[in-house]
Amino acid sequence: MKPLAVTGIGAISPLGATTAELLAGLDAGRSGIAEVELPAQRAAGCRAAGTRWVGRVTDFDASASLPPMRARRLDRGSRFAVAAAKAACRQAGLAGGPLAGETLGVILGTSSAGSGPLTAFLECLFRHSPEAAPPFEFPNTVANAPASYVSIELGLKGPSLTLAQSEAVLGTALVAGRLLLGDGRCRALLIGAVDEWNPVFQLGFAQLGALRGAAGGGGGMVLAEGAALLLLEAEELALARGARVLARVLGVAAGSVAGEPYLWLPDSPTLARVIREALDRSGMGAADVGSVVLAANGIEAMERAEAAALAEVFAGRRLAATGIKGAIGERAVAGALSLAVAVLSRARRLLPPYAGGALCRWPEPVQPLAAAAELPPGATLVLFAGFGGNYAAAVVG
Amino acid sequence: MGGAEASVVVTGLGAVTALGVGREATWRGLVEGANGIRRLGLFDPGAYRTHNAAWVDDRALAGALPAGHPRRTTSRADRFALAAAREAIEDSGLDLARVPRQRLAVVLGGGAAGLLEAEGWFARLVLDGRPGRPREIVNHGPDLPTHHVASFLGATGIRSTVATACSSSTVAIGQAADLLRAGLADVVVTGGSDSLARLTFGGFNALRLVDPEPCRPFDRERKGLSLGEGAGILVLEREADARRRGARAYCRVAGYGVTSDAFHMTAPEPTGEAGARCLQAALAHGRCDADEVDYVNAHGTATPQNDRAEAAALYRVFGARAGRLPTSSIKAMVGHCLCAAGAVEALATCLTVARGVIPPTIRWSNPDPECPLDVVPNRAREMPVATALSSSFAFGGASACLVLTTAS
Repeated sequence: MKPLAVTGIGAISPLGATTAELLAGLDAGRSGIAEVELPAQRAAGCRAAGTRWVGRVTDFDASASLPPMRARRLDRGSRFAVAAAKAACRQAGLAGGPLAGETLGVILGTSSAGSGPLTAFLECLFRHSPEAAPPFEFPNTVANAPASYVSIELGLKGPSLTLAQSEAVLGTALVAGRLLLGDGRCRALLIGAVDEWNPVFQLGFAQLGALRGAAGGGGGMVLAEGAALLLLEAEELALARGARVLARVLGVAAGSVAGEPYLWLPDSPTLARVIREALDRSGMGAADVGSVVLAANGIEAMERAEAAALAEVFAGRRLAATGIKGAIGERAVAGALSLAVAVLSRARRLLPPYAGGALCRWPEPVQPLAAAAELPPGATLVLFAGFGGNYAAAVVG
Repeated sequence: MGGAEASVVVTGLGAVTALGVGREATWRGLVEGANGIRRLGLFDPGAYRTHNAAWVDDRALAGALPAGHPRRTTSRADRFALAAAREAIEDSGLDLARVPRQRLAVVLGGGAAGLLEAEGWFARLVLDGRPGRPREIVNHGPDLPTHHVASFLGATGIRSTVATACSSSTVAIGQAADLLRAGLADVVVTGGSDSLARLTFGGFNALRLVDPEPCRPFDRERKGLSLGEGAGILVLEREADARRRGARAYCRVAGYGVTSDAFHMTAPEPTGEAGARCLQAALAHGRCDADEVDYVNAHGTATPQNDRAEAAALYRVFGARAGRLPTSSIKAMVGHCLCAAGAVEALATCLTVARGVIPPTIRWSNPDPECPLDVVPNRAREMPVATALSSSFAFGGASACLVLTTAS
């Protein structure tokens, strides 16, 4: 495949509302994960201890990117997405419209967009009546509300797509984006993910035993929220318009394993296959990779599968490894933030330390960074894994 | 291995709709102008503005599901998708044992999947202060039918779930064809599944977009939509592969347009400019002239503003010929199946191209000067259709359109 240039990034994360705060937080070893008060959960008699960890966005002011009268129509996730989209376009030099008249679009992945409006609407419906249910909430219950508001607020008339595919959705979003950019149907695309934390969903996941602490052990998922969007365009077109290329997405592949849809399905052969396909599409081999952004998310069996896949593909090599989910949590947005961190790290030639637990003893090729370190030679591999057996890999150079 | 010029065909179709379980039951209903919209039996609709929907009676699904499927751990939307996928694969004649599993992809449109069940869990939390059983929420999420279908097929290729509201499964079919053209899969099972829920029933109720009576697309007296549910599943392959194995093809997926209105979250862009842009993108991608189009399977929701905007878009694309171009909305029969609407309508359009019969717009009696279209009123029409459009216009302005043409 032809390389896709990343020329802008916007990120709203539990570590802050800018990419600079994201990197500074990771470099300093800070965590954006904190305990939240969950009165409904306590009332429901759930074991509250340990299931109150959340990667919440706490330092975000929507009025920086939207007038208040417009912002109030948008749900929380849509506000994140619009703010991140505007930041990405600003960095890419698109503010002021140098690509006006061209086909620009957006593809967002999500695990939870619309959950706030959904629960608010249904609560009113259940407590009162259909006639009392708030009409303004309903349009924002659809998962594509954030992408739609991005298109509306930025005037993007190309595709406005939303993919809902658990935590690995960024891989499928990149595949879909490459197909639309590859044959010129789009001049540029914002690709990323958005999530919104919701206490009712937290309760549901806790009841299923999916969250850190809920099952009594040290492992488990922490729900994250935020948005990260990357502006991608064909490299030759980016260079022709004089844009600064932060890094290039060289290849991407996605695959899956069959099994129960609502479980984590650790499967190292599938992840190894996906890594090899992504390398192949990049025109690279294992020896061309120098660093990796791990998918590791605190699910012990998944981390073991990831370790095994990397040991198999990169036997005899050493990869500087980083990973962000220990600092921000997991969900679709974590994949987009992982890609953002890979691109930003390449642009500044410095990898942030690995923010993860010690659940898994990483095998020989994987060298988790204890502190920020100079980017080693070679491409950066970014791994994505989601429940239901979804895996993806991207090669960034 | 694909290439930009590779032609993609539809080799298998499966359906679950209010008109019946199965492709032929659905098609028979469409051709006969049958009405699937009736009093809702899934929950009490008494307090809503309409009591009607085109809903699927679960009992009819029994014989259509894959053998041994775990009924207790699937939602209604999962079961619609599984039944339709099983039928589509059988119809395609594919021997799955001969398809490398990592080259088998599943791309579906999804939305309220598992929501009706999850609503029970949440209602208990809201009203009693304690949540329902975990089993009620495990299948909640737009992507769950995709996973269930992929697991049933043993597929390990790309899985993707498109969630662009009412255009979800139209986009999914377009993406499926893209994957095949790019050589990223050999067989793609695509389409979509969606089921009714209190959220969607209550949401359109709150927006005052429902007709208390069964809907009347493009009729001057139309008052809004009737919701529906179901699944449409299509098996897509590259034409060369299909021909090599001697498979019959219903039609080609010649082109796909996907655009944004960039206008408003719920209101359609009223001049038809945005809708026309989508149809023109699909025609350009399919390298078709507007003059070649024989039939349009319209989005035709039957809300006053949507049908008006759609008619305006058709006039922008086809000029005065829009008034003579057969354009029907099957939503008067199967309801608005939301995230499955595009799949059910694409399936109907595949059969129109393959069989030369255009399903009618039923319940149409009052011409609307703002929608001066040939809506194929009330009776199916036999005529050869070599090139057809199937279009979807969604909340948020996410528009999509497929160009389906005769397979050689």
